[in-house]
Amino acid sequence: MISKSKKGLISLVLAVTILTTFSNFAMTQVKELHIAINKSPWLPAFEKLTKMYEGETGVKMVLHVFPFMGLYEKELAAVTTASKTYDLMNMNEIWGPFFYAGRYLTPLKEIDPEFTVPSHLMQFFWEGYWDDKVHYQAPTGVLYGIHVNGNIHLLQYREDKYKEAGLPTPPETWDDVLEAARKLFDPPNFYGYVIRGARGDPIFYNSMTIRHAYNGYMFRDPLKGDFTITVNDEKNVEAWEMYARNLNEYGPPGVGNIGQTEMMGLLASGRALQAIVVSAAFPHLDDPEFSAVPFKIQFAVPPKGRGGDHSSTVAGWTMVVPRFISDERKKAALDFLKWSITQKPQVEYTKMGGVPVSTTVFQSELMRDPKYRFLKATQDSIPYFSSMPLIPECAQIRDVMGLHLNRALIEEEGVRESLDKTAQEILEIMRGAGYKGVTIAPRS
Amino acid sequence: MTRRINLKKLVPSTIFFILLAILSLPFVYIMMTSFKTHLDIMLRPILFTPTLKNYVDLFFTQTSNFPRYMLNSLIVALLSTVFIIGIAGLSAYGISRSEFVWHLDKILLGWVLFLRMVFPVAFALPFYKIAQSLNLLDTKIILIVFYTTINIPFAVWMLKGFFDQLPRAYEEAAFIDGCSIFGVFWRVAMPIISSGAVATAILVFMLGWNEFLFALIITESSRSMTLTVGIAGLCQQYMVEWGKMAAAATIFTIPIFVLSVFVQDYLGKGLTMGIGIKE
Amino acid sequence: MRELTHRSITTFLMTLPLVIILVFFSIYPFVSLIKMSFSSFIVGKGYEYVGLKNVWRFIEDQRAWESIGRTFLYVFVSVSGEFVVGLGLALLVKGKFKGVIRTMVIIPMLVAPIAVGIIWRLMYDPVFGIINQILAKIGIQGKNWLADPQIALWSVIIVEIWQWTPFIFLILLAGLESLPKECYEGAKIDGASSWQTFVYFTIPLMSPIIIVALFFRTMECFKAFDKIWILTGGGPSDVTEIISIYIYRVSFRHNLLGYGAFLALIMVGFIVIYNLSYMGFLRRKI
Repeated sequence: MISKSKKGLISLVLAVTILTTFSNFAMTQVKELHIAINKSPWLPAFEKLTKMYEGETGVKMVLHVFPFMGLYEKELAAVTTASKTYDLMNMNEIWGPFFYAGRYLTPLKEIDPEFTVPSHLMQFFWEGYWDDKVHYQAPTGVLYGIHVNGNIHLLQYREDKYKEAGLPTPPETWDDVLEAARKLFDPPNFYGYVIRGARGDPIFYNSMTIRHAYNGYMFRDPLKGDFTITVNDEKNVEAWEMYARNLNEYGPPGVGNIGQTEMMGLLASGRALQAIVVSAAFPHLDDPEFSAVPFKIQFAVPPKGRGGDHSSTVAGWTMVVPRFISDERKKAALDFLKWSITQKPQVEYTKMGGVPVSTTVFQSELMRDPKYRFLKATQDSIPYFSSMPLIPECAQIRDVMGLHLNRALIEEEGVRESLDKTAQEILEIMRGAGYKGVTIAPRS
Repeated sequence: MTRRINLKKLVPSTIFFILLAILSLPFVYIMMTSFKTHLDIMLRPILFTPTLKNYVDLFFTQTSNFPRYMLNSLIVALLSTVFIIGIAGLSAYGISRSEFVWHLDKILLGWVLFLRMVFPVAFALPFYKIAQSLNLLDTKIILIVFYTTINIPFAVWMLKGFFDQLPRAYEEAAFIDGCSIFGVFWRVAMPIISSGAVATAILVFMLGWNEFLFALIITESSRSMTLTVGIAGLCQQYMVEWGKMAAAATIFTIPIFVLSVFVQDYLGKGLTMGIGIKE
Repeated sequence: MRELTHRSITTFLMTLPLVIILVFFSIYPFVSLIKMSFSSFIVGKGYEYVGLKNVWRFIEDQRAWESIGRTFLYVFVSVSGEFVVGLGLALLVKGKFKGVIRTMVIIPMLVAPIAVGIIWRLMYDPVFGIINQILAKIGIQGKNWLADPQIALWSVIIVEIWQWTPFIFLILLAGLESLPKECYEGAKIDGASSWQTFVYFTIPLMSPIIIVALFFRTMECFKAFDKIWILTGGGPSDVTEIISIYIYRVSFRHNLLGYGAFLALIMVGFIVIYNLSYMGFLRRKI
């Protein structure tokens, strides 16, 4: 008797709870958006962006700010346990395919079938897209994220020193860069070229720009599904020889452990002539507290390689919507993304130190402000955007390649040897991951 | 004669102060760095105009969460230390003073050791899941619980070592006086090993205070984020904010330094002398 | 007899809180660690059982074996250095220098590990670093402390010893100061020299504490991660890649979470073997 009434009571309570929760979900609008993001020079700009959105729509924006060095672990823990905490996650381009292939992210078309990418959005070598058929980032694929930060590699060089030495600016080719480095090299006071040579990601990214400029790529034609390994072909070897041997001759000591901080420090303290640096670092370079040479560093499209063209490696951040949250929250998240790439927010964002993703900023008054001189170089770089092949295995490839490149830099391995070994390791990784018929391209 | 004795005393002291100077130099450098601008750090190693900007930015601006982080760190580290010393003290004494059936004591000791030997990387995801299923993500409570769990092995072993070192004669006397075993533990054994317990407490506090990985995984906002996570945030992707990093490290060190001085000097001495066993 | 049983029940009960904590918060991580160790993390599916695949992978994994060897060297040199300096300091301080001066010794241990890495990296920097700048002032050409494969590991070990000598110091000092005074008095009356007192009384009496201190320091040293990751990231080449760095790279760079867990589990075995042989050696000596 008692137990029966108890049961009835419990089911009643349950039913009421379920009903109210469901109706709550259906009825109420999303009032808060939770965003996982990392510390960075452009974080204040992003904060400004969210405040603007808050003012316009009344949706409260909550930023969960994590250290850069822990964001990946944090997001991995969140997605693998189907966490519902975040509506938007900021993601380094290399995690995208891994997370998307893991079915942790929502394709944007699934949230809003009408959604198309506006034409003024810069196209970052199809980062944010994934085509399952070719197993690659392809325009035919599904869009799973939108860039919030259009970070790219630019050549950053001391224009004043170039002019003093009577060298033409900006340097057109890598040989011009080498010539300037040789001419202005004056150790230990001034170094001709800084390679970000630390093991792993740093040297991998930093060397990619010159390899692509020499037409040296990792795979033959991944867009067509051809994953034949070409990382040790003559073009790659030539580029890498130029970088690790010729240019490095005019570099600072301790290249084997130079990270982003050291590279930026050498430039900003007026100790170095030039380097390939990300555009997102621009707010630091004119800051008198950080830089001894404010407004002396000029930005340019990364130079041409022999037998190649310019090439600018994209290194942006993408906002993605996790799969586990409710449809309303997904929609609200996408609404914010759509708004964030329109002109007004983009201009404000750039003013605060962010790197824009929309070409509409190039029509704004910022183009005439020397503070934002990187915009011109960015605009000129658009035709030359390039990226690493963003397959889920790329994180692993990046790590082993970064090891061999670093070894070549400290002369533990030869230039050709390091690329040969990289090719061998990539082959093993690709075979282990189940790619059929992958081989190393024979030397011509 | 007197001069000779002085010399005999002087030599070890001199050696000590030289060693101390070598050990302290990097910290002196950290403090120096905390008063420099980024540019001074790069260009002017020794002579520079000191600035308070790093401290002001970190601790005296409205938008900075550092005071919050610091408070969180203090709460988490202190409470976990209290729990650890209480629980570990009891069990270490139990293990040290009793014969267990089936070597249960050894199993227990081995178990806690195993817990400490596993690389934290491997526990990060399981701990995240535990916190998530208890709905305690982003709370200080779960951090306290986890720190207690992962740091208790050290305290158990340390305190057991100190209890083992302690001659049983003292306790037997107390037993004859009619003390219960708990009373002996609390009034005799603990006070005698107090300098050991204090050292253990300092070390355990430090382990909790310094922990980074679990804090990173578990916390999501300034509600529970600790100072180590805040400090890690100063290594940005494109550069490390050296000056702020040094300021944070200086401030980070002070509370635990003061605590250590206090605990070593007053608590350690007070307890032993209060019982009057020493000398 | 009855009293004795009563006593052992009470002592058993004293361990209960510890047991409860362990049951609640360590069984699940253990089980999932073991499960993960024999699985592969498959994107989108989570962990899938793969049997002994990780074992074979490990046996063939040259980088893992190299880094384990390097870890043994790193741990042995670091802990030995810390022990010698720490014991020396503890003997010098014993009974003297109360308060602030004594506590100053432990400062290195109190600095946040991430800041330790960052600041030492700055000090070691060949261009901006204070070490080379001071050396240059006295006319010595500084080295590339962290970028030269010949010396990078030693530079990292110096930081390790600097940071953790206080740990050994603190424990040994506590051990020295809680030694019963009577033994010393007795020894003095017998006319033993201070060296004899040290070898025949202090060291044997201290041995449980010394062993705990070394044991834990060794264990923690195996797990050293934050500061090395920041100092060199395991580079240049792989000269500072000890096993904790390798496990991290395997888990979060190669995304082989199952294999990473297996390595973490296997390392427990290596730590035990290392510690047993090290302690066995010490026991015979003490």
